[in-house]
Amino acid sequence: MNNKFNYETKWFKLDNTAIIFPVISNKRLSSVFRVSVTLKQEVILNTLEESLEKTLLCFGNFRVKLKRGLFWYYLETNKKVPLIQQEQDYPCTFIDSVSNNQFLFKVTYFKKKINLEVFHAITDGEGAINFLKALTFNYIKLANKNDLSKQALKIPCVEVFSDTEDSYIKNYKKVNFKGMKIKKAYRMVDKKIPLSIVSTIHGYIDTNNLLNLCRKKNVTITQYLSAILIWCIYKEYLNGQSNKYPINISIPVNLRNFFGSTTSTNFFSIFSVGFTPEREEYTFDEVLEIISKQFKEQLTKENLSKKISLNVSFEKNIFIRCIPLFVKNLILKIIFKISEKTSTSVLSNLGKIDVPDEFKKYIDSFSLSLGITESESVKCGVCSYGNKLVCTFTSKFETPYLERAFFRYLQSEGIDVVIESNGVHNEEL
Amino acid sequence: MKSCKSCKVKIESNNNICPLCKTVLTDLDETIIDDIYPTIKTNIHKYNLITRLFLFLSILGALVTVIINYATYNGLLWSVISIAFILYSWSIISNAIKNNINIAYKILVQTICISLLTIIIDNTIGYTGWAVNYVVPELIITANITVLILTIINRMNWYNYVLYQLAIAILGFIPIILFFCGIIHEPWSTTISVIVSFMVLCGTMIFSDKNVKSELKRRLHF
Repeated sequence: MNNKFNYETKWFKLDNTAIIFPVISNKRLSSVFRVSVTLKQEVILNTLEESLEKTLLCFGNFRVKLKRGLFWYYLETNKKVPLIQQEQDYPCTFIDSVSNNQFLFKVTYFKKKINLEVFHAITDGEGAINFLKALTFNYIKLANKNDLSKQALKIPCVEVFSDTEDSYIKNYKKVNFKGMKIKKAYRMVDKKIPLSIVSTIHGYIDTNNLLNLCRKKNVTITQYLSAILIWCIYKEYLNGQSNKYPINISIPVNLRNFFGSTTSTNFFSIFSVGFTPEREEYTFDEVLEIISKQFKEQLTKENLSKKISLNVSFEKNIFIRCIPLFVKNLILKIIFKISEKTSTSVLSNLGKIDVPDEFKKYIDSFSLSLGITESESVKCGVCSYGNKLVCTFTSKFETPYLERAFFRYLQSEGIDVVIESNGVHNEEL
Repeated sequence: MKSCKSCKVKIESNNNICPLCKTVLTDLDETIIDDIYPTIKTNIHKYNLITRLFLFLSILGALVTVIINYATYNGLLWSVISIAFILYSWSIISNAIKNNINIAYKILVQTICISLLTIIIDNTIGYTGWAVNYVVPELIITANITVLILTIINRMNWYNYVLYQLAIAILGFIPIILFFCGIIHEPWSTTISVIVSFMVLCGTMIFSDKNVKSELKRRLHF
């Protein structure tokens, strides 16, 4: 055991967006999101454990624990073994690192489903999906050793091996920090479900049907779905009336494609689309036009690059760097409290999830559930696999007005929706 | 598969009620589907009674002592001492008796808390300077030596203690600053505290291995 003495612990700084999450997270605001895969056969625990062990080797940024430095939090290699349990909590509950062998992610399973719950400080949606895909491929290979061809068994489970670059710093251009304008957004208010209960409603939609409709309207799926979301908030919660606060939806964008990065840590940015109902009785097409125009204006490389640079310049500021962590935490908490007010809800689209043909027959669907916060009590996660697009609403509200309006609207447009829920709304509370 | 006649959507559920609008569903093919979520039992009464009870008693105790002190006031604000003790006992609850906290960190926190406590007592019962002159320097000496013994016994895990060890060593230089400000008059305890701290700093620099150095680099990166 000579290397016990000489083995130097590896460590990473938190990437630029990850800095905020350890500061703001607690039992009420978990900063956890969940990606799940539903297989066509029941999950076997032993095989899953074995495949997790294999998968972890390819993802350095998952094999970590969170540590506190004098000036910043940081991640350090975690030499323990992660625990796998049967699902026994609501989606996206706070990951208590002490009881989780200090890991910042959690793998659970239930019948045919494998869930990966991730604390946002280690990765974003794309990173999590890549991890889940690798885990699933490893699992399928182990569970179906005899059925799969030799070629299929040789398919690598990852495309890029453990890339932990901080792409924010890499793509940072020096800018002068200018104050940002804060505009308060409309906030949905309704009676909430008590305790830590979270309602989850999945809507399964035929991707091709939706795509055809979007093509007809000349918009993308994300644009269309966010327009429906805003429209439904306007109709359901504002009753179609005018309001001085805008209805803003935050949309996370994956920056990897824009900047040619393959990192498995966070590399996303959030932009906001929305509209202020200045008069009464907007039509849906008007809203759709406003929203899709905002998408086109904001989703440019220059715009995103400016955003990155602005955020990184905060991290690089010498005065901020020298402030001790506990003071920094206070500052970040205040900034977060203010910025939280600028958004009504979140719609996150992971896009199309591709799987090698050999594995397709073992996988039924993928889904994405987002963790909710006090001010954003309903969030929508979207992802599609094959011909199945899954819209998942996680919500803290007692009555699912938004979900109902959203799926009824889709249905009225001629798109068939199949609903599945975690049954919270049917329970006697 | 079931269908809801109000929402017009299809529902995958073994339950007969629409999760969106609570309309009773029409069954289309009478199949039983696999649940995708487990039934979760939440413990409604799950909150920490002992902590809450202690918080309540703390506030009650503080209030009662203040009132009694006020009613029988004879020039001594003794209720300040009892409030300081209540606050100190909270530092024990939140820090000292928890088992997932680094032991060197506990020693650091306790050193600071007990120092403050004795200074408050000294000031309340008529300042004579015994706390800053004797108790605080000796506390820091003891803390330094304790962590030193800890690192010698548990050499493999020295890197876990080193940051707090350095913090305690730096605390040891506070008495000399107070000495030059004229607050401390007793030179011996101050001198010993400074010497011990200085030796701990020197020792750390000379004996620290790669692990300790990289731990410091991580903890202090900015």
